[in-house]
This record gives sequence, C-alpha cells and structure tokens, in this order.
Amino acid sequence: MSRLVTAYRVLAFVVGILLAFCSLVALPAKYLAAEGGSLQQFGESASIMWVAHGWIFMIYVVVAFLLSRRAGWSWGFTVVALVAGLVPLLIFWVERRVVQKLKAENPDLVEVAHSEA
Amino acid sequence: MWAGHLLALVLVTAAALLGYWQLDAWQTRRADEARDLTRADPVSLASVMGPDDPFPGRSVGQPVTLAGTWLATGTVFVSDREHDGRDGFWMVTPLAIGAADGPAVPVVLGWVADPASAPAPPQGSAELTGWLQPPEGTGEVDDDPTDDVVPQLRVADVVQHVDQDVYGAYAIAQDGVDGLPAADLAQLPDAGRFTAVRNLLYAVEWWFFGAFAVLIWWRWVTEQRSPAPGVPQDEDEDQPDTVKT
Repeated sequence: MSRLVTAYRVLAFVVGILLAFCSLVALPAKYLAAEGGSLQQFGESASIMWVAHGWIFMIYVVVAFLLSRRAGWSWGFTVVALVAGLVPLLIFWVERRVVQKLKAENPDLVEVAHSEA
Repeated sequence: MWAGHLLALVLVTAAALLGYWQLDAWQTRRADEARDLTRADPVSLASVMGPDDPFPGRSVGQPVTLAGTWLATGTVFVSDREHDGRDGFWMVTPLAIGAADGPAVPVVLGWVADPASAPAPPQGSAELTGWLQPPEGTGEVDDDPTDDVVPQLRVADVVQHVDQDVYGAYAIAQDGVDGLPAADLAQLPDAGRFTAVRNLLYAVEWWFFGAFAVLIWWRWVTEQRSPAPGVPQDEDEDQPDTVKT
C-alpha cells in the first residue's frame, strides 16, 4: 500500500477515535454531569484532547487532500473526506469508502507494489 | 462555480475570525490571570524579600503589608504619571520598616496633579497594604537633581533623600494615603507560560485551516480552468510523496 494511503488510514483512525472520545465522552461529561462532580472534572480535563484532535486533524486534512488529488477524486467526494473528521463517527465509514474506492479506481495505490523497491 | 467561490470566501473569513477570537481569548485570559495575582491575599514584606535582596521576579504586583514609620523628609514626586487620562505626579514617601532608622520602602501614596497642591507628607507610624513593584530605571536623566521631582522611581534617587538603606522595590498603596487617589499599578505580573495556551493553539489551528482552504480553493480554480485528464498528479508539485512501499 502506498505510504500516502497508509498515512491516510492511520490518521483517519486516530482522528476518528479522538473525535468520538471528545464529543461522545468528554463533552457530555463536562456539560451534562453534575457540576463539580468527579465525572465533570474528568470531562473538564479530558477536553484538552480537543487540541490533540485539532492538530492531528490538520495533518489529516493535508494528507487526505494530497490523496484526493493523487486518486483523482471528484471535488464533492474530496470535501466529504476532508469534513469527515469533524462529524463524530462519520470518518470510520468514510475511511472504508475511501479504501473501497481506491481498490476500485486506483489499484496501484492500494495493492502491494511489485514494481518498485 | 459561484457557489464554490462563495463557500471558499465564507470559510476563509470564518477561519480568520475564529482565529482572531481565540487569540483575543488567549490575551484576555492571560491579562485576567495577571490581574488576579494582584488580588491575592496580602503577605508580609519580610516573607517576600529582605532589604538587601534583589527584587523577586514572581512577586510583581503581590499585595504586601507594610508597617513602619513615615520618613516625611524623604518625600519625592515622580513626574509624568497618568491617572484618569490626566498627567500628573506620584507622591512617594519612604516608610522605614520596623524601627524609625530601619531600611525604607518607597511608598506611592497616590496621584497628584501638581506637587504644589499636594497634601503634607504623612508623619508617624503607619500600617498599610500595597502592591510590590520592582524599582524603575531606564537611565532617564533627572534634569534638576536638587528638587524633589524625579523622572522615575529609582532606588538610587530615593537613597539621596533618606539616611537609611532602601529596599530594591517600591510599593503602591492600595488605598491612596491622605485622601489621594490611588496610583495605577505600573507593572503587572506575568501570566504563567501555559495559561490559556489552548486558546493560542486553537488560534493557530484556525489560521491553518483558513490557509488550507485558500490552497484548496486555488487548486479547485486551476482544475476548473484546465480539467486534468484523469491523471492530475503530473502537474502537482505538492506531492513529493510518490514512493510506494
């Protein structure tokens, strides 16, 4: 698999996990848990992960964009792939779609290359 | 086509504004923290510094309690001090800490419009709370060293007006002494290095996304103009990463 595709998949996975954690665990804990309780405290501290999500998402966006141009995706699909990192859980589905799409349209990017060292 | 340009403009503008908003939040929160230190509970001067110690950098703006005897004859006026937008002077009287011949701390009693209309300097003993400040000194020249008006609150100048040792610091009385309006705090403490760093990181993020939106926009426009025939990577200098593993 090309390095770009591997990087994309790893980043998509990390961004997806972080976003799911931030929006589905940290956010409800911070705003829905009892004020001052230990759960709320946890949510407060865990919110720092938003920063991690944001910075890794920046790398994801760049990599996804490079991949989109390499694979010649339509602009619509490119935008969906980029924005996927902002909608909780969407990115896991998008990542699978991307791999399917690459297998169908750009087999050279996903298959183990024999041609080059 | 127009929708695409419009979307790009909106995204770039939004990212720029959100970045500014975070940067502003970063600055505000740091300024707040700096101000909060000046609202800390007062501590005794002795617990912060001794008469011969250099100024403790972490205690800029720390409220301290001072007890001692006024040295009325050592009163000086510091020129070029603003208060409520008006130019005037700080009235400064040294306070001998402990005994009357103990080391002195210059105390900014308050602001006066004109030394001629200043009240008589305080006498006797006093106990007060003031914000601790490092002495000033950028080498500004005192154009008349014989009078009681000085351009800056320097230890070296105050020493000329008293007979004892002077601390390497001065204090601004929290409540003006003798009914003078309290002087404005000249130097605020530094906020911690990591205070509100999250806002700064967000600001950088937003600007990055704004810049990236511009890049995508530009790529989109170039591809609209000359539709790449299937294999767009030929003209793409942004992708050195063509190595396969």
